[in-house]
Amino acid sequence: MKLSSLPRTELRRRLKEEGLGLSIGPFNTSLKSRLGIVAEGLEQLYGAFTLTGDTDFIDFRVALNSPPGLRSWLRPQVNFSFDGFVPFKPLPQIQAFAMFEWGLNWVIANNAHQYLIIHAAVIERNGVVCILPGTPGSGKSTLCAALVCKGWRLLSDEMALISTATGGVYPIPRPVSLKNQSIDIIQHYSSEAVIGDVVMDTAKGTVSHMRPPQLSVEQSEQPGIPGLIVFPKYTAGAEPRLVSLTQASALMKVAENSFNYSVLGLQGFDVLGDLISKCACYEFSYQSLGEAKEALESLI
Amino acid sequence: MNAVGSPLKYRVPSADTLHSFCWGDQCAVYHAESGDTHVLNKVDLNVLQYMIETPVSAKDLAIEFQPVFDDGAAQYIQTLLSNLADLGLIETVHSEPAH
Repeated sequence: MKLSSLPRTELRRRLKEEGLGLSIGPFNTSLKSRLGIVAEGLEQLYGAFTLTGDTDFIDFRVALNSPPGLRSWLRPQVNFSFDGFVPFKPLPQIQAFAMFEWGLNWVIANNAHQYLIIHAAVIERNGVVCILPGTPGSGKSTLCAALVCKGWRLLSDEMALISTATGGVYPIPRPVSLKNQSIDIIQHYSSEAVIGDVVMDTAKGTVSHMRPPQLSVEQSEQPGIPGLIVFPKYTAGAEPRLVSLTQASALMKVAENSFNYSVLGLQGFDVLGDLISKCACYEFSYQSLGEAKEALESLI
Repeated sequence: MNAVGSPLKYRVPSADTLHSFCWGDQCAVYHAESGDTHVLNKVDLNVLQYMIETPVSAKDLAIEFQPVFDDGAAQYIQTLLSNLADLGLIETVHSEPAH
């Protein structure tokens, strides 16, 4: 059963009481919240996701609720908790849905060590997975959003999950995080982009999320085969330029962008070495999303 | 030469500490003892592998790899050993003086 099939009252009841169980990529996540803004965000962006069954194992139990005290009336805030642990300071309540996304990123990056986790957008075309590692500001999420609006499959806009057992890339096609000018850019780039509520004045500036394509969500259980690693860099005024990167240099750059390479030790090196061996690696500077799309499609 | 007149020798303490992937003439090397990853060229990795669990002097290495480096072997090896020691990939071994 999909979340979109759940009556609104039942969605809110589950969020308040036993927790709403969602299958998100390879993880079953239970979310509790009494905040309407969280329910609305889920309705906007998670409609295509499958609800977990009563007997399914839950990997992560998270909650988003107001901290206790008078402040909840004066300047409402929200806390993110994971198994009862509160890892972050509270945020203004208007940021609750964004905090769910950020909090879940943190939970996965710190717990899912059955994967080598790379900070990267991950997309696929014609059966070839393209990993776009990048630090904040590199433009990876904007490029990722643009490409999935034009038919590429979304595996993730935030983390590449490389199985330590098989080397396959596991999809986790959650909403695509957009910041500042990227929100308008994507809205104008594709009339099909469904963008959630825009929240201003966060630590990351103005943020919103784009609904993942339904087909990508439906393919959540199909791992992909890696073939390309591209380090994108948005550069004002730049013509699209792909520069080949040696595998050894690419390995070092990917390791720097991994959340748990050092945690995995030798296993991480072996998984990363195998991944790099399967991929052509490039640095890519671009300005125009249309030209970037053409350049990347020429590689596949 | 060390204090007692015998040449310093170098070695990689254990075969288990070094793991590598090579593509063309570049290699990524994982040092299990430190958890660090390095990029080395293939020749340097060959020198490193030659020293696994076997103490070797700079002079012996220069002789062994002379065909690779031609005339500059001794100087190249000396610089390489210094760099590998700085990275913690090799250790020095003080050999017993000959009787």
